[in-house]
Amino acid sequence: MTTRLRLGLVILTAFLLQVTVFVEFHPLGVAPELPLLVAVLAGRTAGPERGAFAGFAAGLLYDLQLSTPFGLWALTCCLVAFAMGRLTEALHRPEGLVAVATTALASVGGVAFFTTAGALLGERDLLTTRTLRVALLVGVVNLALSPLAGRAVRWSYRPTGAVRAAA
Amino acid sequence: VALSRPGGRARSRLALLVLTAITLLTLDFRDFGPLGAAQTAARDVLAPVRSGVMAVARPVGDAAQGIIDYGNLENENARLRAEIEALRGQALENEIAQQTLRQLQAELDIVHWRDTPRVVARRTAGAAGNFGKGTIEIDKGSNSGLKTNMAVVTAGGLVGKLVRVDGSRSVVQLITSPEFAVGVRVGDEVSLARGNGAGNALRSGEGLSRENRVISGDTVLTAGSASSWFPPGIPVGRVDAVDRSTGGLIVTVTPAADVANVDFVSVLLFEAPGR
Repeated sequence: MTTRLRLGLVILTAFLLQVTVFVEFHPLGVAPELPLLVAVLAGRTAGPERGAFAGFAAGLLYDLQLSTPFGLWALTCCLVAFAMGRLTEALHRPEGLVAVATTALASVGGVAFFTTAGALLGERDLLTTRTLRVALLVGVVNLALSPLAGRAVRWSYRPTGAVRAAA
Repeated sequence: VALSRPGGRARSRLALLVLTAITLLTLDFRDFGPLGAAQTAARDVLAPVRSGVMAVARPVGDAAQGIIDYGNLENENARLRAEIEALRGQALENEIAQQTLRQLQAELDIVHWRDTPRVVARRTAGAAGNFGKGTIEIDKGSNSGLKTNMAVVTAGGLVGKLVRVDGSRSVVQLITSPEFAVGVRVGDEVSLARGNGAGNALRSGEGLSRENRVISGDTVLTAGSASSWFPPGIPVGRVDAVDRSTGGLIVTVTPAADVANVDFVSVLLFEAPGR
């Protein structure tokens, strides 16, 4: 199976979980933002360029289902993935606590960017007193789901058999 | 120079993605028809996949939420049992009132909103994510004759209106959404009520005078002007608070329908005569 196909499967699975299970199930009172989590992890795993493409695809698919401006999640996820990729490179692929902290912070930052950009585009109700609380809790929930999601994203970027043989 | 090349390429590709996203946003704001059609087609393709996954995943999500909210569910059940008892007492009284109303309507040749043709639909999902802007999704769409802006009701009263209609799914904007507005009759005057985004109330002030004799507990109904998407007389809610301190009159209305917990809704196949 090629990397693109595996990545497509991971993005589709994250999307379907987001719009089915996590519509009813809100741990800590908020839904995770799985497309954003996939973007963060893709940036960390595959670097800024490939991460940005994965983030764009995950965000665009999510945009299809929402009533927020079409393209806003795509913009958010590709920027967050790119930033995460750059940060990971700058920190020389951090492990442990630093990796955990950057994942949570990127999720919080992604939600903050999405709501602020949305408000600037005229969607004033995206930026309310509730937004900061939601952003922080999304960071926590995304962090809790990141071990599982991280495994799926790493699987999608795993070198194919031919590449491994060539190496 | 050799080291900066990959970074430069990454930046230019990011710029391409950002430009694409901004183009999509611009087209969306301009209601570019082909983009809307492409979105609808993509959602229609994904709808059966979502339905299949939801059939399996929903009980899992419900069970997990049930475990987390166990204490609240017990309290909720007790409250609902008490409410059912109270409603049983009112049911007979309402039946007699309904019969009288039907007789009077027949004599005066008035069509009641409850006689409007309708399509019954099931809520398939709430809004995905954390920024759903007060919407729910239902399992009927244009294949069942639904169109955007049609009124959505339950036995309790007005729930919202259709804001997006795909082939087999539609999105309902709830009356509590800050973007929702409906013409209502408050006392003797007609006003515009808007959702306040808090999930439990609407506010109305435009067109109301201080002299309006509305009081807490009064019923608020849709006004149903010639160009309105809503037929007249649909219960919107009850007046919860009346504020005359601003020089005018601001009325807070608690919705008649239990907007947060709807499972089945009716979409009224009503099109405004004046449109």
